[in-house]
Amino acid sequence: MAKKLVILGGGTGGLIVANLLTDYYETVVVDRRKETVFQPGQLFVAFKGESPNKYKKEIKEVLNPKAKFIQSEVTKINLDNREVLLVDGSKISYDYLVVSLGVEFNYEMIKGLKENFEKFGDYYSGLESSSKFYENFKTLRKGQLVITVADPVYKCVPAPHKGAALAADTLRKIGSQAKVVLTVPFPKVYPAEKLADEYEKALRKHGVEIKTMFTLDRIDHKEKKIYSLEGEELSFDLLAVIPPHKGPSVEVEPSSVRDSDSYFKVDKYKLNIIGYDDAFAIGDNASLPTAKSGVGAHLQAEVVADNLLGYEAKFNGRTFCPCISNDTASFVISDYDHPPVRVRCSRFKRLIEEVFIAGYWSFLKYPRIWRPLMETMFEATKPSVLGEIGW
Amino acid sequence: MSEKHLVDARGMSCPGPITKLVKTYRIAKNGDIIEVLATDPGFIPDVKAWIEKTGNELLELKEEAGVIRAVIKVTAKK
Repeated sequence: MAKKLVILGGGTGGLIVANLLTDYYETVVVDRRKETVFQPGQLFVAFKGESPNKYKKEIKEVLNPKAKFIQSEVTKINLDNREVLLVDGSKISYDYLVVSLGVEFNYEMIKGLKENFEKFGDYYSGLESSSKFYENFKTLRKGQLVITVADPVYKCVPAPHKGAALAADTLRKIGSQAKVVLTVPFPKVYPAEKLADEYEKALRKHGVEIKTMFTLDRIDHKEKKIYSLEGEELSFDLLAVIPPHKGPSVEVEPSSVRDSDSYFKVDKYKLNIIGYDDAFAIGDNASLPTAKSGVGAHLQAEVVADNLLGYEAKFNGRTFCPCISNDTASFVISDYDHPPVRVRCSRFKRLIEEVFIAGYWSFLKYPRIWRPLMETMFEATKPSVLGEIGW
Repeated sequence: MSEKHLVDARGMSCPGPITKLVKTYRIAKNGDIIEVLATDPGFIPDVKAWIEKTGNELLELKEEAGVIRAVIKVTAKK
């Protein structure tokens, strides 16, 4: 009889593990939502007014039909009893567990953030809030759109930069006089030496004003100003905040397997939860010394699947995060042993990103078919291969 | 009462130990001491720039056996 694999979360990581292993394990996927979202699409909804429907699909549509999908909220994980408790009181036992629940947002951490979210929406919290943001954005004819980062640990490190470039493009297209200001908590516009100059040049070309070492402390909606922890202030007419992140609010026994931000402590190579060889955490809810990204979740899912099929696989910390504008793209390429390499912005790289966007649902549903293509691409763009010259 | 915060960012790369410093700075108060341990060489210029920007006090910055140690006194919180 096949062993039972329970996967918590129907995002990129969870669905790829499920679709790789359903033929070998009795597989159950649990998610509180009926739909799965292509999160980078939120940028195009928020800044270009694209339809949110393009970027979501029912989990059942992209999950191997032999796997079981339960739409419910997980309230407790007991690692010692190999058991998951759902909100309706039912229990699911497992032989192997993969936790891929993503992050939650802490709107209470910053004064004025909840009000800002309710008023303007944002492009991080979901497709609905991205649509709401666009309704405010499209009427901005003058003044300042400020895109600001509340806390320096967030998923998709280039997302604020992408938002700023796309926003500036759209404002110019609709004849708006409004200016885009991007604030980041880092000493340079991007926290990787070999990319910072390239991204600064690209953003300035789009007319984006940049403020570095500006970490959001509080928002004053009466004065329409934000204040930084570093002691500066900035006026806004429309404000997009990358909200503070935290790990999932589910109760976990033992609680010692999570860090102070509620992320799961894992072995950075094998991705098993520290102290357990039958439970893994992947994607944004894992505490790893590499960027939180969809590509990371995809690669981590393959490592976990390989190990559960009896192969010796290790995650190498690889990133391949696109930083795009409307017409060009660069990628943040690094791994555990190499900081991000120099990757110049080009139209061809924008085309590569477009192929990824178009193929996303297929990558999710048929990861085995796409694997040779992914492996070839990751091999050809290894930081050690690109080296000093970059790409 | 002032507190001492230890930030162990050894082995951290992108987005770098400076992010851990900023996270700790949010919860620190004037008079507190933040000690950061890092191995990423980019941390040295980063922490110097951060001190200049924020106006906090850098009590010590040294590198020994590949580990950078920065000791900061929080003085500029508003």
